[in-house]
Amino acid sequence: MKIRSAGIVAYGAYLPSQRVSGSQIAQAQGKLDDNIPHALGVTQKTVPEIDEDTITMSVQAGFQALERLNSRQKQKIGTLFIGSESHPYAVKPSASVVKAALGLPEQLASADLQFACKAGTQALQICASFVAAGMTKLGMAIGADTAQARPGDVLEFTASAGAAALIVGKENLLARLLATHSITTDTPDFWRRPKQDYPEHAGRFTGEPGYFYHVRTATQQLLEETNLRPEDIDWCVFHTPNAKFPQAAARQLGFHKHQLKHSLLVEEIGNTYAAASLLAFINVLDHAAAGQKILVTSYGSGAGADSFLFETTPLLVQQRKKWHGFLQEQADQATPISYQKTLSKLEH
Amino acid sequence: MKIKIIGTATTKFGELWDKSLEDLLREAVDGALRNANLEPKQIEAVFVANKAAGSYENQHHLNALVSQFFPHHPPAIRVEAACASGGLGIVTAEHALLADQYKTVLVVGVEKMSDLSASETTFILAGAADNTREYGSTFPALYALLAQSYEAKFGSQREYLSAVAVKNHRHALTNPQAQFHKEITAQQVAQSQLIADPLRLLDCSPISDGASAVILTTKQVSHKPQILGYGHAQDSLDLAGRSSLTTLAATTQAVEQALKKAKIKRSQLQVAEVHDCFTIAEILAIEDLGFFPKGQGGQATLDGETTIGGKIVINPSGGLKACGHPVGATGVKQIAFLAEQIQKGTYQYALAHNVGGSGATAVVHILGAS
Amino acid sequence: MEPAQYWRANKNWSAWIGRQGTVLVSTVVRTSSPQQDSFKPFSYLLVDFGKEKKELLGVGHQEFQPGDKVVCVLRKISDPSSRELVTYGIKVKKLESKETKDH
Repeated sequence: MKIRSAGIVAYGAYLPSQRVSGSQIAQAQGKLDDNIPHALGVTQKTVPEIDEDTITMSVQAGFQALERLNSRQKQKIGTLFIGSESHPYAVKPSASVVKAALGLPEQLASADLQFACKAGTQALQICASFVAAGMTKLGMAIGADTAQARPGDVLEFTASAGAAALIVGKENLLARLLATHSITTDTPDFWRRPKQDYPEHAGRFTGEPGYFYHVRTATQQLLEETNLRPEDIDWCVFHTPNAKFPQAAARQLGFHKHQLKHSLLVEEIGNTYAAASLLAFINVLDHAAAGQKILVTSYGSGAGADSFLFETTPLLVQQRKKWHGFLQEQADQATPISYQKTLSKLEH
Repeated sequence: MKIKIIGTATTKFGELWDKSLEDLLREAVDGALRNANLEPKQIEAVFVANKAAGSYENQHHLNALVSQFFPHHPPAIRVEAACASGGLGIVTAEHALLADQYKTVLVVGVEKMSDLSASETTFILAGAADNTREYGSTFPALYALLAQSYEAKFGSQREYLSAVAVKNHRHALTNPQAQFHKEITAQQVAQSQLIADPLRLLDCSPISDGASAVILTTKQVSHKPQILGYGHAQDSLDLAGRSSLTTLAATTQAVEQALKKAKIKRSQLQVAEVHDCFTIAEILAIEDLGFFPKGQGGQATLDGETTIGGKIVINPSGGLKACGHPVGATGVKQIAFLAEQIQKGTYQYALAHNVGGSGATAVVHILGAS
Repeated sequence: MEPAQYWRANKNWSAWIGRQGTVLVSTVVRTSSPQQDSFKPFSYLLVDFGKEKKELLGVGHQEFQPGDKVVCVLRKISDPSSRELVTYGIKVKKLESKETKDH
């Protein structure tokens, strides 16, 4: 779907400061010799503090995005969609709490989304459609998660926490959205029933029939629609359940390693689930030059993929000079904690 | 018009499993009547001081509960001002007496706290702070902030805080009603569990049950202790509104009012029961009451100036720390205890100091032999 | 927290989030009421925001010194039962990075 006029006007990111290392997790699992962190390409992951959750992190990311927006524009935000697998409520939207905390206008179309790791990018696509249709001047999309993994499971090495917020508009674009494309199939590679604390996953089935099929297909269809080839793209972002999958997807699609640079923060922060692709995109935006094309394809188990083609503008480079608290800086501000500490959770 | 204390009674303070709230009230009321050698019908009105029977026991309407102890059901009022409930109960009675509404009244303070868990109690007591603005505050946290401020200004206080606890436990040995009859050492205090830095477990007054009652009259009687004067002052409920975090302004104002009414000099005071809900509170109290210069209360305690043989005896009953602190009873017990000491001839002039919250309410009474 | 109390409280959040202040005095609470039990040890502080002072909880297990620059953020302020509303409120966190300090 080609988009006529919509793009990113501001964005913000938030990472909890605590980190637990892959070797600590391996030791706790009694699997030090299996070298799992190396196999996954993930050396450590973020761990939220005891009083953080998807809502509080969304507020942090949203606040940073608003700080970078002209303050008079806040009242023009007419949509807020938040994608997560760890919304604090089963019924009562995270969006309503975030709206209150950020002081967004009461005239707001909002809802929570769940579609595994692509819920955040789906939120972005929905906001872009509202803006492109002229139904709102600005829209905010958030992807956030405090991902949970069963102790002892391999997902424990990567399930982390973080939030990304992007504000979409028609004018003063930092990155123009040129086209977007989504696919959905009923592929049961990863799921969680309501009363369960932890998700189930289908092992190796999550690979080719899951991640790779959807990421490849959505990306190829977007490239076809826009008449572009991998070499026409400056930066590519593929969802990061670990550091290896996006690199393999890139190879399968004909992208080169250097195009993935800046999109592999997963190595230091783990898989932030519904925030992952958006945070990788944000890290690219933090480093890109003007006039560069960025391709972003997320993946959500269950399954589906959202693919986007953006082009950066000179305004991005100009505005960046005024900002602070960049994503890479947050990734670097790490407070290591023991595996034991990651187990302390609220009772309820 | 002179207000005399003609009867007193205080129950044992402590974890009194077999005594209910009502049992404690009856014991104190009956004890005071016997001590005064009065018939129940001679009590014209009753004032009940209590902080949290509503929360602890789901018992409201305490004024009616106590009134029914008397066959003639005298008019009764319940007064609540957190830990200053007792002192303010006495003040309320004084107003009624001075207005000549009644000639002889009974004031009883009571609290039954041990039925709930320590953490539930912490939650209930935290209601003495402003619960909408200070979410998450607990009493220890508020007094810990005061202790931190005091330390920042005057240096480390650990040995001074411990000295307060040690002294009060020693004093309590001679008070049969006290909750604790056990000496503690400064080392034990300094090594006890941290509650809210820098306050430790043995810096904190305990959870206690107990009641105390006094009978006040404006009738002519001789050789009975007299209330010479009182003061009552308020300050902001939350610390954010205080002008100083190293002085409780309500205390300094209340003591000036009391001294003025009593027409005596501070130096004539020989003994004081002050509000040591935490050890830091006693240090602040003896400074804010004007007994020692600001910043020197701790050293004075360490030097023995606040025990028998020193400049002024502070908390001979053991204070809240060692005698116990059934919240609503404390202010009344202070008066009862000092009245008994004066009656015995141990002291001539005494002061009682009762504080609510982290200093939002302060009540000071000055008693004397007549 | 009762629904009406939550609803009155959330109207103030956006006025505080992002506000910066200086720590006047702080303590670390190690024994608390049931609702904050899971958070201990946590800091309780008096913060100077220029025009006013406010008593607040500190985020997570962060410890503070007088003079620290802090910023207001939204965090969970208690751990109610699994049937009650999630209670959010304003806490403060240090403005500097949370790197381990060189001792």
